[in-house]
Amino acid sequence: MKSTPTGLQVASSSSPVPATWRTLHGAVLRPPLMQWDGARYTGARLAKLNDTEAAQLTGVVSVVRHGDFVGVVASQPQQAQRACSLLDATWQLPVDAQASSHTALPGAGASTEASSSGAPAFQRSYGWQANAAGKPACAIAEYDGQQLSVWASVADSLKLRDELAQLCELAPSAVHIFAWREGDAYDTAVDAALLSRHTGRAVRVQAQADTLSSDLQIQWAARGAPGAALYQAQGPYAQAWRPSVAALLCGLQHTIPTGIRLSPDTLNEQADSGALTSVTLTSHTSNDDTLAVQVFARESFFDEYWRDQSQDPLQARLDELQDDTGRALIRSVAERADWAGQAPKPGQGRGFAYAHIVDDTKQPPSQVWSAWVADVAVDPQSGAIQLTGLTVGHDARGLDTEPSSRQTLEDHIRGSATRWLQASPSYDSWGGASEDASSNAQSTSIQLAQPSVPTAPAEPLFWHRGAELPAAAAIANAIHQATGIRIRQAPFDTQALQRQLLQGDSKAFSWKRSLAWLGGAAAAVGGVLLTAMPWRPAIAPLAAVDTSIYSEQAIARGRLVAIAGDCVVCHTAKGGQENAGGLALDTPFGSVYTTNITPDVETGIGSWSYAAFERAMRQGIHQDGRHLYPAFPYTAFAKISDTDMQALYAYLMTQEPVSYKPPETQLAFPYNLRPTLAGWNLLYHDPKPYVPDTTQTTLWNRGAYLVQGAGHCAACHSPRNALGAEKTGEHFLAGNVIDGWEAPALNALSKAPIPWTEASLYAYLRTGYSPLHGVAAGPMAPVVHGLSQLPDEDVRAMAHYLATLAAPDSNTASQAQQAALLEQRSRENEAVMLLPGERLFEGACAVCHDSRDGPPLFGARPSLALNTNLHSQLPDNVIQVLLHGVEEPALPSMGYMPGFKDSLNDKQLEDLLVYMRQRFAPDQPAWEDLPEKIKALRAAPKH
Amino acid sequence: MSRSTPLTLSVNQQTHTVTVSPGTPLLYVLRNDLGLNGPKFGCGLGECGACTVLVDGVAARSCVLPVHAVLEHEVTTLEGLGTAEAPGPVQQAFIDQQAAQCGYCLNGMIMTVQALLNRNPHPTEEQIRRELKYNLCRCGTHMEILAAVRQLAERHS
Repeated sequence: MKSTPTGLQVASSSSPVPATWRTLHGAVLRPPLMQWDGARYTGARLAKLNDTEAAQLTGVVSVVRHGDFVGVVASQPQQAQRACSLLDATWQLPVDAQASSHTALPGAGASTEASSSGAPAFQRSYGWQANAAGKPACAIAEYDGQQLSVWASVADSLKLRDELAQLCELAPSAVHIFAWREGDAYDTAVDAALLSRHTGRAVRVQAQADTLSSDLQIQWAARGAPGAALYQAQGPYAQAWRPSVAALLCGLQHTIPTGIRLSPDTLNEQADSGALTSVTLTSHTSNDDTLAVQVFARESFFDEYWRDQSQDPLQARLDELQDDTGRALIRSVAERADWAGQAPKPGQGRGFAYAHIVDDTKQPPSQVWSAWVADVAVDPQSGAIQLTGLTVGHDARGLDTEPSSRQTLEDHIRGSATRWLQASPSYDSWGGASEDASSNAQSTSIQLAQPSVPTAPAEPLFWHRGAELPAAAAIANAIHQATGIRIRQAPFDTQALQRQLLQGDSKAFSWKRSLAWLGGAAAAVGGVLLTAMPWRPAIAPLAAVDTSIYSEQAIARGRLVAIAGDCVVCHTAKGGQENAGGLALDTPFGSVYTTNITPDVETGIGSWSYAAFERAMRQGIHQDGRHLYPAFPYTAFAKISDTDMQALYAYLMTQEPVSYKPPETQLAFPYNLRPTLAGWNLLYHDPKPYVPDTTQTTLWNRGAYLVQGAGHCAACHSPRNALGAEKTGEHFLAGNVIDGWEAPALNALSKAPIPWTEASLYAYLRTGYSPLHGVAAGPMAPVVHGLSQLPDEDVRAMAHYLATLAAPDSNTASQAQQAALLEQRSRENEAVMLLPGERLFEGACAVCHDSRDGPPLFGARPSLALNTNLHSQLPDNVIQVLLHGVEEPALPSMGYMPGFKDSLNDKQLEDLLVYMRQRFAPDQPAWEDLPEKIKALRAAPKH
Repeated sequence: MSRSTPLTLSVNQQTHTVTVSPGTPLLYVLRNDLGLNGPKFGCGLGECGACTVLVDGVAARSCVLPVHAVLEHEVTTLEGLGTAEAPGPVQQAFIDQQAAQCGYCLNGMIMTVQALLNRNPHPTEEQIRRELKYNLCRCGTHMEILAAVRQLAERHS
């Protein structure tokens, strides 16, 4: 029962997805460098593929290879992912990528000025963050021998159908596309279809949560002597539309009409002779994006190049350009903007950009020309950038244009330009919500140049969206003239730019630095005085807190802060009500009971004013003036920004009050003397909010803010000194034992057998599972559970920041090879086979943890050979898991493990531990004092 | 222990609501609340395989799987493969080859074989043996069980 698609979109009611019991799961392996020159794939090629280890993994149905496309089909998603991470692929990088170093630079803004002969004299690369918002893409495909059905959400299902027909050698009428779920699953749909075509089974593919951003990179270079420049666009997009990544990897030469493209006429020559740039990996970029990134890169490059040559960029473009309509338009805009007039004042700048797009599908081809001049001014006080003026001219012929009044058109132009300067996500913003830039926008004056304005005033004005393309580059060029800072990444990180300006990194603002330093010093003195006071006054309780003043947005933001801070994990007793407190935290000084943080006036924080709340959070002082024990990580929460702190207060105060009085914390002398904590605070506590590091990106700062602040990772992962204070410096996140569990080192001291990467950290924090490391369990499980509710960008930021703390992978073998070696070694380790633990392992563990034999049981079944805990100096986590199992994994699909405390005695556990250590971590010394450890952890209350 | 909560699960293509603690092993819910006695209690530690059911077509040891782990998934028990009057293909093959003695392990054997055939309709002898490696049987009808699976694997290829 399948219907044939007739239009661009296929009805959603067409066909139910295949039953889950017969749906297999796929995962794909992508090359390290993917490029497209507009016609064919030019990135890394698969030179060699060793799939022995992956193919033998339990649950794997098939390893599919088609050209440079490699994928795995298995009975469960985790098995497919794990098999992919075990694929040992050797990639052959393209020749020019090997020759020049720029491909190794993932970030935007990399500039190379190679001097070796043949290399371009002037070369820049530009980045573009494609809009990758939304859930990870998911698609299902089923090939039954004749017909291919695909369930996915795609913008253009006709294009997908034609591509699949070509790729799978089927008639278009044998390919059926059904709308399923949301988002953009174009690439994923083709992955699923290929895997299904090769296996003849229904295959579901969930796009991998990787950290490879959907960043497009475009490389531009000028060759030859200055003045006789020969430009070469090294971008993937000679056309605006690209086939799927899978189709490119299969070597598909696409024959689909190109549609709207950028005219090469500004290039003067061989627009697509060379091509060398990475293609977006995670999302199928829309036509709008592909055109926009090209215009941004090209127009920024021209400006850079000609300013470098001390020439006027607008005049130079006029000299270069061959197209008469374009020249006339640029002249008209230059005149209207008085480009040749007075030079901009300090702190002001103007920039120029131009675009010409052609739609080949029309006969004759229809075209749009547009030219923009943008004026910006920088406020020396705040570093804020204001768009003061725009001069726009455009000429559309044949393309569908919309008539509008002058006012509407001006508003439209203003809107499309000012969005580039909207506040970008800052280190303490949630969900990437940007503030409204309308106040900024209203002050932008708009001038329209000929022929945008018709000669007769009564005629309606016409506009085409293609005419908005030069806006980003015009503004970036203007910002460069005003500040000396070149922006090569769009959308702009205006916050980082602002910080850079205030730090005095630019020519105009160096005087700001000394003043800022004075303010900081004054604040630091105040902080020390406050921290050291042993007796603190009570803050008067309020009869009731007026929560009506808090907006829904503030409460929603506060909820995210609370999740990031994992408040509920510690402030909820086993089986108790959320946030009502009463959980005992075992410290070396005794048990500390968590308090009720619901807004109950009698037993909770219902009578706490914001001042009292903030003092508790930043300084560890109770409302009544008592010092709180640093088991409450106010040392980390102090770093929370003011906005987030207020939002958190708004959230907590608007929750349901619970009347519950948790047990009193009673520590032995001298720790029961709370005033002594004043001295502790003086020594170990810095109550200042997080200060962003201006030398780092917004993403890094966001990660650092979350890790050091609300996330309070160091509370568990940093070692503490004799007085219970977190050690800093090289000890930051260097590992610690807490509540009977080892919180492993996250810095360079990590004992993980395969080093953590940003991608594996992200997968672990996002899903609770990393194929090369294992699952989150013990006290880390609720942390991952909390993180699962945070926006994706936040988890990415944390992974990004944490990855910079780790030591780089010094091993020359790929991670897949390292993993294969560890797996092999653990299987072929004959020395352990006579140990008494062998039979225990076979009976109790092997059914799930035998990576080669046995059925692929439901769940992740992590590899023990790659498990950090078995390679650690301490056996604690392994003992905990053996005793108590994994009852509450981070996410239910990870699978569960039963505890063996009632079926294995201490001696059997010891035998098992000795065996597992020798088998899975033979290069590590045997664990010491196992009997005592087992006894102690068995006796300890379960956490 | 966590409190009893109403939970909705899908078993053999039917929706059931049970009020249990979310940590209860799936096996207990199947047998005690839903009256599905195909899955057997053996070791209670996931070691013997007598309790095997399918979750989204994949074998799972229901004695160590908390019921809340399968809320978003489709559970299939022995009863979902066929009835005494109309046995499913795997059940029929086991009957054909007289693969039962005491029969206690057979639920696990049949469900595990079904999971194998779901992903690989024509397994080799080695693949069959690997798949059943961790399903324990004390009676020793291993040869008959293997013959039953071979019969299935050789069907209309």
